[in-house]
Amino acid sequence: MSIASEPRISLLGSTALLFEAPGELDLAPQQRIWNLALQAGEWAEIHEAVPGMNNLMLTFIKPPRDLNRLCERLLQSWENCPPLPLEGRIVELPVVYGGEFGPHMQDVVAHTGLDIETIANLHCEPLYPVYALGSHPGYCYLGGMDARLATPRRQVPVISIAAGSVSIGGVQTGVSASAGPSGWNTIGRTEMSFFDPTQNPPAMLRPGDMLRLRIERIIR
Amino acid sequence: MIEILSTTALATVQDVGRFGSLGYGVGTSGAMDHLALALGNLLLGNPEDAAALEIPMFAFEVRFTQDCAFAVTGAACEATLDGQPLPPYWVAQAREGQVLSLGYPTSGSRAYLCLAGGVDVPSVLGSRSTQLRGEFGGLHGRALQQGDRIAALRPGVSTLPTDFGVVSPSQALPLQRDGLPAMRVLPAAEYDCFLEDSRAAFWAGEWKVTTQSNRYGYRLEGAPILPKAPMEIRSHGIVPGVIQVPHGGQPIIQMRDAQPSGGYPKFGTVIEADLWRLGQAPIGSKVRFIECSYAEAIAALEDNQCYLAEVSRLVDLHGLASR
Amino acid sequence: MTNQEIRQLAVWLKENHLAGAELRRPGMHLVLKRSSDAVAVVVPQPVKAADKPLLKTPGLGRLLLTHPDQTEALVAVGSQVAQGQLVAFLQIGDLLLPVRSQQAGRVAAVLTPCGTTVGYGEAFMRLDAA
Repeated sequence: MSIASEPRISLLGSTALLFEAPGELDLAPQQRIWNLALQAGEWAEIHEAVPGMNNLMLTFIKPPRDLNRLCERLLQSWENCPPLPLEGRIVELPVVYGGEFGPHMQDVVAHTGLDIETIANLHCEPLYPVYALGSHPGYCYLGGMDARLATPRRQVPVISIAAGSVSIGGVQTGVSASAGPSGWNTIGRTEMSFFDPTQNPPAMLRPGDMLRLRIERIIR
Repeated sequence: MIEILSTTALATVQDVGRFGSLGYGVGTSGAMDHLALALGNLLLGNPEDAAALEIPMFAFEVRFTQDCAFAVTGAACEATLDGQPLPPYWVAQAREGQVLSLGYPTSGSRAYLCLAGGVDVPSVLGSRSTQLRGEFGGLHGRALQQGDRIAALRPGVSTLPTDFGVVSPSQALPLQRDGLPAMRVLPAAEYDCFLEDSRAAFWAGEWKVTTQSNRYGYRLEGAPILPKAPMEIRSHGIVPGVIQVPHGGQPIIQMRDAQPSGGYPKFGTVIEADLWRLGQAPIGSKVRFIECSYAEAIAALEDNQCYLAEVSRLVDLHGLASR
Repeated sequence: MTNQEIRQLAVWLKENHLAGAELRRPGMHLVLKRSSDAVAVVVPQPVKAADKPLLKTPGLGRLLLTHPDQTEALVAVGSQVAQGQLVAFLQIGDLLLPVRSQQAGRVAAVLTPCGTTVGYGEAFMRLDAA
């Protein structure tokens, strides 16, 4: 799909709207999204400002009658919104790649034309910034995956993948915090507790934190 | 206090939902039929945020281990209290030892058992709803099991009137197209990226609710919705009602336990005001969709609120008359 | 609307401590206002149900013999009815109030069609005493 050159706003029913930043998926626009989320989260009609991958969902307390005014305010705020470089903690995660822990590794091999070892090495190379949380409690969307690893989401979502699954969906990668359905390609597994509802905040990681993945083992 | 007698699966504690934790990856959960829950709470004089049991599988049986007023709303399911029939959308007073049985529904698919004061479970992140994926909220973060005991926040003999009911939402707010239940849909971001024929077929066609439909999502079966070109979309926040179309072209409508983000192309969103209708559509049944505007979506929400306000007014009046 | 119905409405207003009511029907516009002590209200005599095998409506509303969400009538001619059994609903707006049989018996006749707007004390069902 072509890369949009202008920001785009669309509706999610009468519950929320979605703002999508223009350009390639990158950290600088994500830092602007974080800034925009902080601002919009304070607006009277907005319940929650939820960053995604270079996009922002705003849920309404009550659907505003004058949607145009809200959209204009949002676009104006975006134009005047500098990147907000959040500097979080660095967390290291050992990952076992392939075998029973990476049930879709062969699909990534087939799509990318790379061997398992190269995939594991490329996947562990970057220091991944947490762009956003979503999907399920404690789950982190990571930015900065090597574009050579990009693999489309699965034709049919998998009914359940294990907690700690390390997976690839399009140009994105992430680590699941609990077992559940997923449309992504699972290539490995790690062990870490990402969420505790009795803590404040309940999620262990937040946007701006960094993940360092380390190869613990590769099963060929 | 009630005790679950049946082995039936998938019954959960739900309230209006958990709001404000989307940024931690926590979806809203909450009742699949918001109106049925709201009416049950109105009949009992409960606060709006009171939690109830959502029951999707029948037969279902509980024993009252102490006196407690209750209401059964949602699916019309041949309810009986110690063998005495209870009409749909009805509030009643149970005595210690009485057994409430819910039979297979004649219409609708989910019943709500509301207890006086609401179900007494701890509020986690601002809600009593069960977060199945996160294993918290509700009763120990899981579906109910045989032998579970659940307390009400206001047990005993009710000081408010019992033994009356209300007209159900499907009677008060009917919406059908060509004899099938219908839901209004607001087109979403990728709507124009689907083939014109597919778009037309979506509005014209009948959609079957498949067996792979649950609190997470409803997978529908019908003429495939095909994109003009393949799409890979960046993950973003989504809400219950969003109609995602995976590569196969068979839509998945996000329901209350849906994850709060996703990346499949979005065809449209079943408007919040109509999501209860889908929540009551049984597996195997067919539904239709009606295109609507943002203004119509807001007006529909207001229609729902007017209906609830009118019921609330009449229940209050009945309370006065019964004093 | 009969004088008796209007009287019953006035009783209902008094019981509910309501200041007034307004009713609009085709060809009719009724406004009732209650002043705090000036209204003399005639309370209708309670129906002596035990003497007659007739079931009477307990108030104003729309008489329903079948629940709107169900297809079968609560009782039909020939049904055995226990004392206290639900035999009909009185619909007032979106509210459904139970109409219960004051006595046991067998339904001999249904006198009022489902959906009829009824006043207070109208006979709608005849029983053969048990």
